[in-house]
Amino acid sequence: MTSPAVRITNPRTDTSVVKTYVELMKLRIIELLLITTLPAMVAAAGGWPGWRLAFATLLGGTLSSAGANAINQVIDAETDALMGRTRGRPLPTGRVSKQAVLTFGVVLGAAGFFWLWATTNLLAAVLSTVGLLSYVFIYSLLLKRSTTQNIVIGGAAGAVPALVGWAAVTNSVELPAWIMFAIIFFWTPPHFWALAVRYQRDYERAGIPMLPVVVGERRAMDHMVAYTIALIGVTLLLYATGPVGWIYLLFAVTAGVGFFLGTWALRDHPEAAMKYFTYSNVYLSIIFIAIAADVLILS
Amino acid sequence: MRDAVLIVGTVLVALGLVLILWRELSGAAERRKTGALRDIFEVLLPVVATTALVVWVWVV
Repeated sequence: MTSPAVRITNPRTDTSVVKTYVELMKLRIIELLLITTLPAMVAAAGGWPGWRLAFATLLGGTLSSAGANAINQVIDAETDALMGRTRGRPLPTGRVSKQAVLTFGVVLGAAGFFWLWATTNLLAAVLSTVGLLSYVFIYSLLLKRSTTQNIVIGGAAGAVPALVGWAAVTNSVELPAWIMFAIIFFWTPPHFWALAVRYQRDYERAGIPMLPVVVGERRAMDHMVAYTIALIGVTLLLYATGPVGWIYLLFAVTAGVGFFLGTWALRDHPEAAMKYFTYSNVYLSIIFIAIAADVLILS
Repeated sequence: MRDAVLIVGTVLVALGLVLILWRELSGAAERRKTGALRDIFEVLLPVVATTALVVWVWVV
């Protein structure tokens, strides 16, 4: 018979449970969401928004995004088990039950809403929750398995943190916030289609109609070029509307040219899809860090 | 300077949207997994929203 004391004090078990729940939150994806939130706050404030507000907003955004990621894994449990890239996740490996993950996700989402409401304002809290709900209901449940436009429209959920950041500072959502939203929106399809090029067979096996799976990688890359051109145009519109200056413009143009050349080159080198995927993360970070740096230096 | 960037940005967005529409609609039969109406709605929604955004930028 096992002693209760032994079970309670088993550090490996405690660690693995914590690790499992941290894994469900997909903190690496959230990192990028936060990189877009803070510069939006800096732009809205016309300078540093203050440590207290910055911390409160980032924590609230993390809770909402983590909740969305956890709930999404409940919806995707079966398809995740079919894909090499995702079959090691907590649900496909049976490390945790669907019920527990769903509860965890809902609690995190609710905590994010109330935290943002209490520490920032109701608009930021509502926007953050709209992001969570649209990710779960519009992207995961409605679009992901039924249309090649899944990541295009579904990508709007990932763009919401820019609105949350702006709203947390101003209690409103003005034009520059929507332009930042559009930057993330147009960045999302090339970013995820590169991943789909690399993991084409996985998506095919799971029955997820990612564009490269349905029309072939070459044609999907032509779509990526089109979205990249629109993306670069939108980054320029942010400068034209006034909240940022020449430092931002310099980075937006140079990084934009680099991103376009990368997208174009990918058409002949699909084997470089993961390099491109990584660079696309760097590109978005450059754009948003440039927003913050520009405002902080020039203001 | 800002006016020049506004024009270049607008041209690039317009070019991107035209290319997106052309790519999405010309290959619709092969790409489409849903009904035609829903597909057209899904393709047009981001294009119309972005056009509204650009108009807003010009008005402001």
